[in-house]
Amino acid sequence: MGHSATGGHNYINHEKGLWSWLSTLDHKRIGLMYLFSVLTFFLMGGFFATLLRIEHLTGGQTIMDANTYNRVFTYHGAVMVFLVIIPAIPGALGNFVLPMMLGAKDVAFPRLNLASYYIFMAGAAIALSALLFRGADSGWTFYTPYSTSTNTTVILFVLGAFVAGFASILTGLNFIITVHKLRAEGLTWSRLPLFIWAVYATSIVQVLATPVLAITLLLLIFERVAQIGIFDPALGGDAVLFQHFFWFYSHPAVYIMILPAMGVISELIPVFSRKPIFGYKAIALSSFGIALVAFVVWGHHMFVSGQSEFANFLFSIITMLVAVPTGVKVFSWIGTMYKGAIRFNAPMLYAFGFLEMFTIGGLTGVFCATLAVDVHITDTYFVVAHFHYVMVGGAIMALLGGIHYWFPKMTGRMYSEASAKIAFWLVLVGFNLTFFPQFIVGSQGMPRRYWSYLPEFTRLNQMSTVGSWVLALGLVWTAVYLWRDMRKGKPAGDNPWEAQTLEWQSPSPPPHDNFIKVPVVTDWPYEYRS
Amino acid sequence: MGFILKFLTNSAYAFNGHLPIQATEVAKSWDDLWWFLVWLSVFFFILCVGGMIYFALKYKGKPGVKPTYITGNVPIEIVWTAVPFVLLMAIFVWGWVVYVDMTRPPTDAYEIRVVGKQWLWQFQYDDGRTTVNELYVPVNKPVKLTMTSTDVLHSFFVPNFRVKSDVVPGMFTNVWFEATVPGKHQVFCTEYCGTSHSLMLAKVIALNPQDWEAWKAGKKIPDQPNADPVQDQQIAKDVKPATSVVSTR
Amino acid sequence: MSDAHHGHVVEHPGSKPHVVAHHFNDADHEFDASKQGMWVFMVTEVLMLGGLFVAYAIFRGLYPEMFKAAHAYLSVKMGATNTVVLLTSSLTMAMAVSATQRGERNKALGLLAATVALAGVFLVVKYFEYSHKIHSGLLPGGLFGTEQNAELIKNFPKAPLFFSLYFMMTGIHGLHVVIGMGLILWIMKRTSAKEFGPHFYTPVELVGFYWHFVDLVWIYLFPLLYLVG
Repeated sequence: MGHSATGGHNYINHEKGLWSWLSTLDHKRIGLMYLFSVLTFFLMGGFFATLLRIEHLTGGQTIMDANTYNRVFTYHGAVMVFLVIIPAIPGALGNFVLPMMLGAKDVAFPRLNLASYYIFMAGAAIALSALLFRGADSGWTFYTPYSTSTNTTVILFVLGAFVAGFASILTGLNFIITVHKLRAEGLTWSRLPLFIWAVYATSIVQVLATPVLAITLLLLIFERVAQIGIFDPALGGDAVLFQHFFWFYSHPAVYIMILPAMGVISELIPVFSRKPIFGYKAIALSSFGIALVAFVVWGHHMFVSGQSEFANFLFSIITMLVAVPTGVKVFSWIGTMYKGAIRFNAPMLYAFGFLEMFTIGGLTGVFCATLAVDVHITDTYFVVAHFHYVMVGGAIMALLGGIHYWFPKMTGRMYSEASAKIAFWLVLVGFNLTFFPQFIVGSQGMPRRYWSYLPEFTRLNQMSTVGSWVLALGLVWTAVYLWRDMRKGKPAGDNPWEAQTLEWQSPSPPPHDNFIKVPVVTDWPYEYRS
Repeated sequence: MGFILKFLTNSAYAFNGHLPIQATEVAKSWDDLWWFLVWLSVFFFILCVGGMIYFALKYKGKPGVKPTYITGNVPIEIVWTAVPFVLLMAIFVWGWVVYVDMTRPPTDAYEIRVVGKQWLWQFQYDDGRTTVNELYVPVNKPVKLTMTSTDVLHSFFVPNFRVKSDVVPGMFTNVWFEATVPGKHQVFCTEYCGTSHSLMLAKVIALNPQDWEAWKAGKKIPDQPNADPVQDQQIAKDVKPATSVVSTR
Repeated sequence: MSDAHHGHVVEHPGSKPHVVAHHFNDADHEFDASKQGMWVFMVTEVLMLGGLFVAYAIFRGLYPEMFKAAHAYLSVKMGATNTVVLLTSSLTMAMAVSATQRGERNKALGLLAATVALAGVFLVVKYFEYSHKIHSGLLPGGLFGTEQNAELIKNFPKAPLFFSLYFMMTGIHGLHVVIGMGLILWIMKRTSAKEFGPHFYTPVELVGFYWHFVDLVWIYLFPLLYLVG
């Protein structure tokens, strides 16, 4: 792993010992700590999911009673949303890659960055401590009045999410200033890699939306502690008001989850097609289009909540708009492959998987946005399948693609392509087998958050459960071989993918200060003509 | 396709694709929109993912083959922005029109009050009578349900009718339907409400005029069958009865 | 190759030198970035408190008469006093920042101390307001003293909602005042350790900025809560 120009010094051996990692200001080390934490929480959330699917092997009680089931689906959702998908790509990949892609030595506020990581972990600890008491059974969406009246440990759980939210805000803040102030010489806005555009748009959403979640959760806590009455009809409040507050954040939140993922895909496809991205400007702008529209569609989660016909009209028509920039991206990515010279390494396989899954997820989003259709499918497994296709099929596939892509840069070693191919096919097949049947069973009427189900839904549920085992196998195998190859993989060169973004102009693994010589940028990062 | 769907879905709904039976006129309009969206999605899926697979195989990197330097194509980009936009607006309009049909009750609808509470459904009729977990309605007459909850959020969902609305404490919400198929139609609570959320089941029992008059007069009426007879047969054939809690059949 | 985050150093006679973080080009670059970061942070605070203002607007729209009746139980005198106190503290804070920029360390320390003292006065007035309400049972929903305020409840059964909003909004604001006091004390400690001067005063400016924001929020809270109708 030695590199002649740095004398074998890199950010990993720069300082040794656990304390040097826990007190590091180095964005690369912080990124790795996020990666390690997020993947641990992912396995935890996946464990809860596996339990849920085993319970669904039969329509009656299989391995747990209803109260346990209700807790497990709450944990699954909350862990996956707050501790995995929201922090994952910005916190893990963004932290490691963004400063290097900008030609910077670090993020704008390294101490704030480290603090953000600890705030995130503190939030996780607080939320998970609820499991030591009566747990939480409100669903990750905490709808009132159930969440304010159930006698489980909702307060701790919600407090954890509240705290973790600040990590999201501060990371977004850090990235915004970094992109504004720390770009290398020659790196103009029109030469920014699309991953940066995506993370930048995400950061703006994080900064604007997450504070609203903070106040919502705080109101929820005070409702439980002091019965402030804001969400309690008996005290003059409004039960549906909570949903407005909640979704005002949580809808933009799903774009916090998917925009960075789209940014990763926008990097992978050009590199592995040896061609520039098709429609650079459109893709960059569409990230902002999506971020903007994200703030005015929250009511599409509430079409049957009792809100007015007029509200439903507005939210439905505006939601339709979001599909336009999204479609532009999908068509542009596929267009990038046209007349390329495609390499089938693992990152590209995950990009293919993303395209298959995100296309289905996106198309089924149109079903949900269509008012009449949503009346029947909302709160059924159709919606569950839709959001898993975009969140897992989208965000997680992009995360896996990005991890494999930047693996050599982070570790100085290559992962095993053979191992990765096996894992990819297990994940692809397993995922589709798990979630596609849920579209069918949902449109047949099976509601979500159901511990038990009627006999006619049995066969498809069993199919879905078997799929979840295949998916789990693929993901666990990924964790195993990545852990192995991190320490024992073949040494990788500085730029094994022949990519053009700035991080590849540095050794693998990079030195502490990121670059031996800070690059000066003279062109955009998709110049594949030479 | 039909065979695959039959296999996948216990063939309970085979004659209607995989959807629940059409027990109202509105369900038919709904199903038309649904199938349009399904086929449109299949088309775009084949276009995108098929295109992706085709490009991946056709443009597989081979030694000596150079990729072509293309950065974009404005006419194509305009087309694939404008065409989806137009399609989506058309879908919105169609969805809105059907939605209005689904949710605006006719003025002469027969009103029944519904109270959802953890974990049962109570129905109150205009003559003061109440039933629990069984909603009796006449076929071929519009019925409007005015609903509220006395505790947490619930949601009243009848898949056969394509009808759903949340049931909210502190306010009234409503749904309406005109049942065209007599028999028992499944009702689910579909807004999470705690321990027995998945057991908060009910039935809409749509009665022929004769049975409806008899029931209203307080007389005994014959046992009503499942509105979807194929479903009962298939379940009897296919699935062992649940040994624990579940069914209200 | 240096293994410390060493960048430029800016100096001023009589003060400790300031080391610019290694990823910035120079002190100005660092100062610009820090200021921009503080602005973004203030935006997030606006959005968070904005949620409460939205809740206020919704319920005031629903129960305008109740709001009018309930607000009469607040002391306009105390609220006005606190407004003047905070405005003055913003003045002393701004003057403290200027003094630091000019290198007048003792003057800065005095003005910072005055700011903290005024913040303390604010909190003392708040203490009297709160204890009066607790005493009278004018508390959020679950804790509201119904018998003590039978007349109010009879005419306006939803009145506890007003007090829920009152306590949440002034409480969260008060928490920010306490945090601000802590920040100012920290700045005072660093000032007396000779860290600031014309060469480096970023933390002072940023804390000043925070303090002005806390004041501004109160300027909105006061009329909305105390001067309704």
